[in-house]
Amino acid sequence: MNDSLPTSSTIATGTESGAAESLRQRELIAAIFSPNPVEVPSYGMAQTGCRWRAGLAAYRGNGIGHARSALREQFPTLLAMLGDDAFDTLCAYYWRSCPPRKGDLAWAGVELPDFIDTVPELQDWPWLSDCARLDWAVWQAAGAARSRLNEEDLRRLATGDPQSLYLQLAEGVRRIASYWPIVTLYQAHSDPNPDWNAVTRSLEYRQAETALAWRPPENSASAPTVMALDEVTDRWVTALINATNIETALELAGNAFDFAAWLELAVRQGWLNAVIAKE
Amino acid sequence: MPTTALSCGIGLRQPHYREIMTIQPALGFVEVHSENFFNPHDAAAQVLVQVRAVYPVSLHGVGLALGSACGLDDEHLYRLAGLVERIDPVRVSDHACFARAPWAQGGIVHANDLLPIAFTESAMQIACANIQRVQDRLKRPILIENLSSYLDFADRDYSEPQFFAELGRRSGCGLLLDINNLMVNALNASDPDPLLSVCNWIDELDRLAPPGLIGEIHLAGFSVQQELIIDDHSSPVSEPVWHAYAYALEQFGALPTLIEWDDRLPALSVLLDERGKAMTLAERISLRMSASVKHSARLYGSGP
Repeated sequence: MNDSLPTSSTIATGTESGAAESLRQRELIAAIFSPNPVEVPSYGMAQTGCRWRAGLAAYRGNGIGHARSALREQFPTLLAMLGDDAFDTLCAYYWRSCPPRKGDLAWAGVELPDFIDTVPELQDWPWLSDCARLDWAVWQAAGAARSRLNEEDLRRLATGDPQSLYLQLAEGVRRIASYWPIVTLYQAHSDPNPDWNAVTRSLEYRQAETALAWRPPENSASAPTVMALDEVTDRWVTALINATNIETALELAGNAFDFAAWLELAVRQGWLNAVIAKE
Repeated sequence: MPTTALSCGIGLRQPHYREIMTIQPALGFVEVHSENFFNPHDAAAQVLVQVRAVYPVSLHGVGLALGSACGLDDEHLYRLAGLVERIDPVRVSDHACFARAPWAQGGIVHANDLLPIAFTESAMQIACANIQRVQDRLKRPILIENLSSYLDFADRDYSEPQFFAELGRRSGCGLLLDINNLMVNALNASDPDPLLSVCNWIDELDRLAPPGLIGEIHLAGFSVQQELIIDDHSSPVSEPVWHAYAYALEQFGALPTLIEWDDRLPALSVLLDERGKAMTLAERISLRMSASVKHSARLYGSGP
């Protein structure tokens, strides 16, 4: 391997020919993500006319095909709610409006929930973006590191001062708050026999729900799980997310919060990663 | 670069995970798309560890974008390095393409595709610099695959075989020779005799390449979509590609060979049959070549 090679960025910006490479690459990418097919070949292309159009169409179609496959996997609830055709149209619109930033399609959907909020045609279904946020949270939970809580953590919890102890949530634990019944919708679309009347009622009454998504421990079901948080538990979980010490978190949760019951469930479900003591 | 003579493998895709681990067919290696295994915590990562205990694994990336003038994505390289450390692959490869470029609205876009690079001196310098960064980080040489491209750039200082020979010489990387890609490009160029064109490409590479440049061969099928031949790995290897493969083996000798199949994935047995066909062809040519080497050695009086 040659040690004296310059870096690509110095070549790209440092010479006229490097600038030409940079320009032709920028222009081809702009043509691929353009809202409509570009009729005039981008800078430096060998092909013109119908051959240019066919080649460009191949790349544009390829990208959208990749996006569609990745996003279908990442947003199953959104797909079920929109149906195949509308979902695919949304994918194409999203792909061109928010081109990906990473070369790993596992991140293809990172901006989709926020993008949905900007699409006027979807504003009649204002819960869609929060449902997409929950899908994305579940997708992220599926690939998150599992809980590493051990007996030493539990010993620390039993003997330490709650004022200087902090409960660290596992990486896969995600909280999504919504003004809409996102947990009811999520569960209805993953249930083989959903109660659609109950779903309709929850939408009519604008039943606000906060979802907790997490990846269960290795010895239980491997798929991420979703549940609705009641108001008291939500105050507690929010305090933990904000890295509040246990004593203050308990105060914020209020007297109705049953810490012992929550802890038993948290250990069983793999919600906790560590008990940290800070002076 | 570790290469095993007469080593033929298949691309391992998710629908075949369970079956392949159950029947454990004899394979020289399996190849996976690196990016699908970047996350060390997900279920796929656990499968790959099990697979690695049985087979040599070749990591084939699609996202490094080694020809990008704006450089590499550090995080992508970091994740690849982590995967290489965990799996200790028999080979690491990616493509001679670009995919990253500055975006008018700010930041860098990654097209998640294999976009063509110009065969110019400045593109050569960009690719060499990026490849060197990867090789330095991974502490091993990598293989770079020739593309099937649906568009290309008019400017060129090198023919494609010249480009790969020079790239190998300057950066120390090897070539992953995708014969189906050569055929797709010849067909899309409306070449009157695409097989001859592919064989000429191979001849030119043979004349120019430093010894041991080619580290692996890819074979796959293509489809015809509207006005173009698309390299979608969705069908059996075509007859002309088998002929070109035989021709390449005669020039370069037996090389690790992969049957790639991504779209409309068939039963595992179909992939294994294709792999068996490649193996048989490689064995026959290998035998013929060794017989002819012995014959010429005898003619010149230095043989056994």
